[in-house]
Amino acid sequence: MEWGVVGTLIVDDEEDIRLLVRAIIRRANEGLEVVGEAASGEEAVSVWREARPDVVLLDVRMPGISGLEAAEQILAEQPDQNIILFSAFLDADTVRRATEVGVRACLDKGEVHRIPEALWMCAGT
Amino acid sequence: MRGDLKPRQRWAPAALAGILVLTGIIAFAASRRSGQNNRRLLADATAAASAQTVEALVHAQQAELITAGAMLNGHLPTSDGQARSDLRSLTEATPTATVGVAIAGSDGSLRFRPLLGPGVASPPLDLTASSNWKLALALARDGGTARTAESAGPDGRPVVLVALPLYSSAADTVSSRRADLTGYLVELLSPDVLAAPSFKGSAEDVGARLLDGTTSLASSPGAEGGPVPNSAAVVPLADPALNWRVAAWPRPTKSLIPWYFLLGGLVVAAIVWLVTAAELRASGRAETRALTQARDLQLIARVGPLLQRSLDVGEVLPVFATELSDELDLTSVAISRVGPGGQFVTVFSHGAPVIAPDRAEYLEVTPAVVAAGATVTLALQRAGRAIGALTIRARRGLEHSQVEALRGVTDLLSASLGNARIFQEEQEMVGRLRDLDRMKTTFLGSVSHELRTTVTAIKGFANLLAMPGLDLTDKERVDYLERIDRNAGSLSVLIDDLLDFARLERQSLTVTPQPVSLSQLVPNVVDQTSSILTDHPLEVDVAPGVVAQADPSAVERILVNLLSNAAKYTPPGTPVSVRLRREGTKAVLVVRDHGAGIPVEDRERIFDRFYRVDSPTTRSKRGVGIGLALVLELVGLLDGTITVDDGEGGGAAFTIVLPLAGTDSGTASATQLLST
Repeated sequence: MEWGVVGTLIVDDEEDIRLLVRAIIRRANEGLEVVGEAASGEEAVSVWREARPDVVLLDVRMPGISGLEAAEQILAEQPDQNIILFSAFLDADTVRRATEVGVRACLDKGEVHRIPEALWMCAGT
Repeated sequence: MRGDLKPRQRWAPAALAGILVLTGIIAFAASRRSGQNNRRLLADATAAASAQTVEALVHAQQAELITAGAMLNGHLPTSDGQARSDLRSLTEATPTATVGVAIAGSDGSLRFRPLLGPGVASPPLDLTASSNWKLALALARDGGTARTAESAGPDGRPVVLVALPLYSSAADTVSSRRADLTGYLVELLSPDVLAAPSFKGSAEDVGARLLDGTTSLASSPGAEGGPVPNSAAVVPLADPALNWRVAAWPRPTKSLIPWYFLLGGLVVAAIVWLVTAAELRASGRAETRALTQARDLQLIARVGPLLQRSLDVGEVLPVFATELSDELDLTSVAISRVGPGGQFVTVFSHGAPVIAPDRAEYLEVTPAVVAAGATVTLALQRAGRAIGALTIRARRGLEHSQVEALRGVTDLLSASLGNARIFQEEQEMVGRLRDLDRMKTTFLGSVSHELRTTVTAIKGFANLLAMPGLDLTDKERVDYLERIDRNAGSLSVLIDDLLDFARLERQSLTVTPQPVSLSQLVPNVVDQTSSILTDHPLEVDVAPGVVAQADPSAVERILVNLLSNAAKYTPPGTPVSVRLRREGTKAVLVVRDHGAGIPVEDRERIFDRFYRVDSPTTRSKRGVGIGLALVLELVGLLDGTITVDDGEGGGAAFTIVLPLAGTDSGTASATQLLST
């Protein structure tokens, strides 16, 4: 990670959402950078190994393995990887399982405008 | 039979009859013994009485002779005629006696000349030939009195002599008596005559005999032959001149009394035997019945709990069949249930295979008894309806009671299988309800996800567009607007689906069938839906003049849903085609995509509410699982059909068939509609 720049990997099967998140990060500008995108859990693990982002913004419901399963694989390889679970339906069970796996934060898709803030917070700690 | 119940012993009548027979024998023996004792006493008395009677008779004869002698005044009769006249009184007393006189001869002999009685014609007899008589005559002469002596007569048979000396003067000394003796008045008697009065009245049960030493003089009737028993009572006569004895002994009784006792005992014993044996037989039969019933109850009591042990038929039936086989000695047990087609389907069999009727209608009436090695099938019934059958083969056959027990067990088995079936149905119902609950949970998650994602995109892009400081190109602005539009379209479809679904749940989803020109409606709907199909080339092939009897809103909802699904579940860039044709009296609308297609096993269930094909490509795709359920419902309301199969070149092809509005009054309206 370059000093002052937070590299982010956006993982979501919805192309609209990936584009929206990328646009919001670009608008926030200050020190945030998108280093990669993935449309599935498998692709996320693969891209993550290449891009080595500071933070992974991870959707839960995706084709193939779920976001939680992808998070498990990533954290197994790198336990201190910052991961934010970004879901449209954050129920208590999902939050509990995310905490158990080692996910740093959970963000509801309704709060998409708080993504820059969440990224900074994760990268700063 | 495992029970320890046994019929009780039936020795009682035999024992009782035996006791009675024994009692009869004892009574018989006692009676006999008592009679014997009585006869012995009677023999003693007979002996004593007879001795006295004989003696008295002899004395009487002597007295008669003395009386006769006194009448003769000591002189011998001078003529036979006088003698017969004087001595007649003697023979009147003893008619069988021979009475006569004895006169001393010059040679010292004493010649007896019979005058009266049976021996009157006999030749003269020398009385001195017998030493006994000679002695008695001498003693009588010297004593001046009558004397009696016994000796063998001329014919060898014993004869009793009674003699009274007669003197010419009143001699009173021995010498004068010897000098003055003129002769003797003599009476010869058979001993029978002397004994007859006493023996005549003796009882039949007693034998009596008059003896001189060991010589038998006379015998009672029936006691003539054979020796005198050693046990006989012997009484000697008191007169020393008569060295006689009377012997008497009991003879075998002819009394029937002991036999009455014996016979009575036997008869009573026989009656008791018959009565008690009959009673015992009756009670034995009752006991056997009770034992049989108890055995049957034991069978039911053992099998009943087995069947209730579990509602799992697979667990219960083997134990049940084994127990039943052991109890009734069966070589085969087969249990079947009524299958969907009404035929029996074997669910469990034990032992050798058996052939049984395969439908309830072919079952015969259960016989009262089952022959050895025979096969019997009993219907398993529940509420009067056959639910299966129990087939058994009995190695040694079954008695009536066992068949009854088998019926009882069959009823229990019916109840058990019925309960198991109900339990299974309930389990399946619970499973379905759980599936439904899981699908509803998934549905809620899907709806939330769908709404959130769509709204997030709309709101997010709208915010970006509205943000003053953001530097956007025109292309980007157009792209954002298109994305907002597409998501709004998806949201609209979703909301329409949800509303229709709510109507469906309330059963208030209705259509208003009317002639609809599908040739016009279909291209319009495809046009309106283009915003959600931007990633897919559209191929529309619509035949002209296809007018269906349908509801335009319903057709639009059907088509939009199918196109929306094609957009969601097929890769971008793959074409989606819509084709409308008229085939006979039907309008055929086909929506085909080039996606992964729908697996055969899912083709029925995709129309179920909340059902979504679970595959890696669809797991998170947007959609809530109610679109096709709505489509099916709407097609049904329009009297149409919908099927899905493989499209040409892969993908899925949904075919909707609707009735044409040309068959009756609809034709005119359709023509009118087209012309306008």
